Amino acid sequence: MQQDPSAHALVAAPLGREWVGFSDDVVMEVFAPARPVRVPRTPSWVRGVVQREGRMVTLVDLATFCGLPPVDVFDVCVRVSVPDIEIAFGFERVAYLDALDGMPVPIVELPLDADWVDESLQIGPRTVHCIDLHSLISTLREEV
Amino acid sequence: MDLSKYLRLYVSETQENLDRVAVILLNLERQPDQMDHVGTVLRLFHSMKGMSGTMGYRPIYDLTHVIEDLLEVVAEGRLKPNSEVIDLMLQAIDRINRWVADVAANRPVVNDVIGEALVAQFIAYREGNSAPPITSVPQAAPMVPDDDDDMLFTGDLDLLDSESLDLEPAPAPKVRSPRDTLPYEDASESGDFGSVSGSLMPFDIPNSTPPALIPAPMMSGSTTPKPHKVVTNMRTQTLRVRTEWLDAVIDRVGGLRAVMEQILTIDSSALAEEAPPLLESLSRGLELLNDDAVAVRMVPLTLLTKRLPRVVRDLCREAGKRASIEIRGDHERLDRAVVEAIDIPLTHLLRNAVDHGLEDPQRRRDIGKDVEGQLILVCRQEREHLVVELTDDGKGIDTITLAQRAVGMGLLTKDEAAHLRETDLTALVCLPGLSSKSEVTTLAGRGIGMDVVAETVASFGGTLQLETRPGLGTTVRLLLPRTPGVTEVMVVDVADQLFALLAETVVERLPQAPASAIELGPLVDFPPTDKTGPGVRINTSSGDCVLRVDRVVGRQQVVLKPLDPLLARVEGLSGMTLDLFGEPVLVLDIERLLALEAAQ
Repeated sequence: MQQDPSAHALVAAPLGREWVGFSDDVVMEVFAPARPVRVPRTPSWVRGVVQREGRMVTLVDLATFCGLPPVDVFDVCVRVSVPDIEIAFGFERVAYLDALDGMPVPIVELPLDADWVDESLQIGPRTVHCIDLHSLISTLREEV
Repeated sequence: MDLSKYLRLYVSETQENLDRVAVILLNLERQPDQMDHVGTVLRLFHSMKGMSGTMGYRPIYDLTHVIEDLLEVVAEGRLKPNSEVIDLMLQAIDRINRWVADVAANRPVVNDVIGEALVAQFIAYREGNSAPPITSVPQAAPMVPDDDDDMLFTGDLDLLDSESLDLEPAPAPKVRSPRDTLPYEDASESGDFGSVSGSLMPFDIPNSTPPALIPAPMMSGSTTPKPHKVVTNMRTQTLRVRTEWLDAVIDRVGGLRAVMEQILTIDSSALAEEAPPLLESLSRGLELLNDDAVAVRMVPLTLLTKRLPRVVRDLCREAGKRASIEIRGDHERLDRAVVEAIDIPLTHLLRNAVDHGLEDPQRRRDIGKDVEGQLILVCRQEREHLVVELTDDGKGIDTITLAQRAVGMGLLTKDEAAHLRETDLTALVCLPGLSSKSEVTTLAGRGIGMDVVAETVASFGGTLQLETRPGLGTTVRLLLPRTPGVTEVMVVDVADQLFALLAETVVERLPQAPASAIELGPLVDFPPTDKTGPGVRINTSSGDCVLRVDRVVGRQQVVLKPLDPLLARVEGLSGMTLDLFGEPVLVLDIERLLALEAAQ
């Protein structure tokens, strides 16, 4: 499903030198993570599972998944939701941005697969790649 | 006058009356001299007719009207309530049930050929000209409704409303016909549908006990949650609850929020003194909330069993057998999902009992048995299980023939067949495609059924047991979890992370694991465990093995949750649960983990 980034606030987080942004529509919460419970026989980018509001949510290290140096300790997690699945991404920090402040920029070389990006915006000093969550989660599921 | 707001009440009350009439008719068939039954049935149909007329459901009104006419003839002793008459009445009940389903689904109530034929046949009977039946044997009451038919449990639709009439009928009228004497103004008698004026009386049951409110539901502050009757739809995942229950839950949540507010505003200097009682209050409130959630899912087994006498009667008619069913303990409450799930298995069991189990009447007479077979359905609580047990007094299962067929089908070797143990019988009977009956009937003998029963029961954590005594009968026992998903696990600690093992696989705890023990740590991608750590003996299909862990926490009853969809393909995990502190705990499939380890 294509998202319209210009219509939503973004929860953005650094990923390597770039930033990724999640539409506010799909963000359930931003939370400080407890230690996740590790899950055997999963890729290293699956940090484990955490309990949020009674639900078990898988915590993913997007940096590791993209082949970037792993984040040692997540300071903040973004829980996102699409039908049938909730997932949390861990980051060092997040920022709340207004997509209306951004100017579209061409998608340049990314650590991300271009299929996972709806649009790239220049918001202030940051280049924020707006995530197509369905596409990203679909890939994650295939990789587990 | 807008009658739509009474629609649900009409549906629930009519279904309740139809269910009750069906039971009474079956009793009447067995005891045709019990004229009290006729009076009760007459009054119930009279009520249905009045309500249907008021609501404007002409086909139902017409049919109940001619039924009433015929019942008057029976009440006068001019017609015996024989099986033909009972058949006709049951067919009428089936037809009315379909119409009521239409009402419930907001479909128009339209007469059809069957409805017209039934009316004609009732008139013919009344005039002493019995016409051929519509069908030779009435349709068994559907235990599993059609896709668009959610009638199974809708007999409790009244509970959707804040109040309901007491549906318990009054004692059978002492008079011949209620129509003659009841002070009931039946607007529909004049054909004037939908134009009732005056007070809201369409649902009054003349001469019945006064309308009684359903007991008030649990209110906030109550310490013991009361069971809540619910309405469920087959093949749906919805649960309808009374608004009072929802209100009570909202009240309880409001109370918890208030306690939370108090906790949050405690001055730090008074924390030690003021926090404990508030935290205790919070904990108690959460427990009650949990009880509320569990209780609302529990429904009585009567929702399922009330139709069984009719089902047995119809199965017997079709098979040329005679049988009665005695039901005990069906007041027990069980999780809605389980009640729904055992609907089909129970039908299979009844079919098997009637067709495979019971001998035909002549045979029973010849061997000195009562010509009428006896089926006994017992529901009882045993520890954490609810046991549903069906016993027949038939000929038992021919285990020799069954074993021979299994050998013939390549399911069993001759040697295995020769050494069959009692406990193997259940597994043998549940093999797909295997049947001891040579003749395939419409009821059973196709070798399907018991495998479906076993599979269904296992799917929600239940088990099936079977006992048979040659010449004396068979007992099939379903051991059902009262609350599906609640499972006992053994919790262990490995490298400061808790894991759960299914308790059914755990043989024993060992204070110290032997040197030959398998380290659990590496199996779950953790470092090797302490060499002096305790052990847990696990039963696997290839024998017992001991797992070494860092600590055995103990057994716990937990609610199993499925794996997150992202992790659904991860092998070696049975699911997840939460520990007492709300932390996720992985439930391990040790057998699979061992197999994966061996394959590496």
